[in-house]
Amino acid sequence: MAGERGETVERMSLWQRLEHGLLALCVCLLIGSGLARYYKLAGPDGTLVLHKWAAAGLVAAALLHATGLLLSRSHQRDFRGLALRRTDFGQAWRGMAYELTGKGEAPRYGRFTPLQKLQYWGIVAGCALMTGSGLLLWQGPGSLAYLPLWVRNLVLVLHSNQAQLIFVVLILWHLYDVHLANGNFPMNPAWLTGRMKAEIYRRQHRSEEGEGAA
Amino acid sequence: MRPARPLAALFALLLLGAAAARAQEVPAAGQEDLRCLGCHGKPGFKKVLSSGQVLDLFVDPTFLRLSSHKERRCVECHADVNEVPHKERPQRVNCRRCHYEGNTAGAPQGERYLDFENSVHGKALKAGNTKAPVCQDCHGDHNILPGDNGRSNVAHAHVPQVCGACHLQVYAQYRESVHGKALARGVKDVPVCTDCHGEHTIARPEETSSSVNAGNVSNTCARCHSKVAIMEKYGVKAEQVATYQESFHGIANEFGVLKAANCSSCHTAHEILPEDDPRSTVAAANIPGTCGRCHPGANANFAKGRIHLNPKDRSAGVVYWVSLGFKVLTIGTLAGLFVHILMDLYRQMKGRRRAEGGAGPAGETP
Repeated sequence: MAGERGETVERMSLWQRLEHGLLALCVCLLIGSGLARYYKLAGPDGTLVLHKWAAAGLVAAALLHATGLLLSRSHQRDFRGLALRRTDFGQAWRGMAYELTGKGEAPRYGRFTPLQKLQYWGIVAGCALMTGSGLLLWQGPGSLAYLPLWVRNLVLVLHSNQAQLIFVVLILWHLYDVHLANGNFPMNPAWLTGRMKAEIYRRQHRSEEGEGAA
Repeated sequence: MRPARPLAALFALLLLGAAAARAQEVPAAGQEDLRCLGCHGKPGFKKVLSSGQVLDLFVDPTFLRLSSHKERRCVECHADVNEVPHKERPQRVNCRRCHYEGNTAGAPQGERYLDFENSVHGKALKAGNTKAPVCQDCHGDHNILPGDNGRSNVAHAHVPQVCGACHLQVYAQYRESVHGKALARGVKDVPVCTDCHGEHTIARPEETSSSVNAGNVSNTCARCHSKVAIMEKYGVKAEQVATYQESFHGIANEFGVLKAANCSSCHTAHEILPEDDPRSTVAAANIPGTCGRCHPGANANFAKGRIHLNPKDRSAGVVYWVSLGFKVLTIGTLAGLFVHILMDLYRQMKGRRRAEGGAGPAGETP
């Protein structure tokens, strides 16, 4: 639950931080080893071993998250807060208009901004697609025992292109939004301590701390 | 003055005699060659060995007159012949007498002989293999001509025939291949043996120095196959090289995994045929067998799609459209990030102005 403790608000439980840490580590290793292979910076032997271990870690993070959704109240609360609603699009538009013109009323986002929701569902979809395609590619030419080559070619293109998109969304945009923008520079400590400054939270979400908690 | 005449005549005779003796000692080139050709210039001049083998000893004077060595005397190469007729069979000619770096005989400068000694042929010769080829076996002997002369034994168009004199099976395969057939049609861009294997530096494919070693062969093929200007002439896609290099096989090969497939693993080394030829190893019906050499159990699915796939090419079909869609999405996302950053900068700038004017709205910080 997002509660008040001095000047900070709770953003992530210990479970969520473990999940986030494992996900971040695995995504960095996956992108690093994948790009090294794609741009021929390292041989396939080492990069493939690392890529496969990191992929196993990613699946573990996804399972940890799924378990959390089943057992943890904070997960269930956040999951409800992350649900995309029609109002999100209108809020996002009004938010941009307010930022640019200073006119009208600033939308009150609650616990998650529309951009954070979009990033969350982007990660969910990305993980599902990358895990599915990755499992197929993991089998190497063995997958051709039951699939035609053109499907494998398509999966390979999906996997590598999706990886580039994830690099833009997670490494560039998420890091900018969470750690560089909104007065968080040099870092939003929530991913380590679970808490962030209430002042920044209020400004970013335009709501009182805890208000967005369902 | 009379007594002087017989003396002058005697002196002249002495001079002539000395000149004649000198001429017999070191005959002029033409004269000497004529003496050799006195026998060797007769068509049908031959010797039957005790084994029954017939040695053709005829040397066509026309070849000699046209050859690169036309200015050379016979004994400059056959240095062990010191009498005519010679009783012993002359030794094999050693081309290295003139062909070395720094020679003053006018032979091309270079250490080709040293290269040859380190080649598979030179090593075989050193090991005592009497069938190993020496210079004359490829370049010819009395008819030797520069390689850029179309009549030379080692002229581009004649090379397969020369190599094929010993490498019979490979020559038969090459003649049937797409390269061999093109050569027969007079195509000059087509590779012959030496284009892939080298000339004097030919090494066994197992040796890493060989241009057809598993680690080098894709680069050797790429020397021609990556050139758009050449490939376009024959309707072959130059992108095949790049698509291989970007594939798992290509990357593995580049990083020294030599069991990974290279060009010749699939297309073969000498029997290269177009994919629409049913005999080709890359014909759709034969692909399971070709892939199966490394991937046991390969089935018809291996042939249901492209091996050399270029996602940027429209002919890649659904792969092209998916790739394009992701490109648009990724660029669009990057654009969104830039807009986000610009909006943040604008907000900060606006906030700073308001703060300076003392009218900053609550909650707005730089």
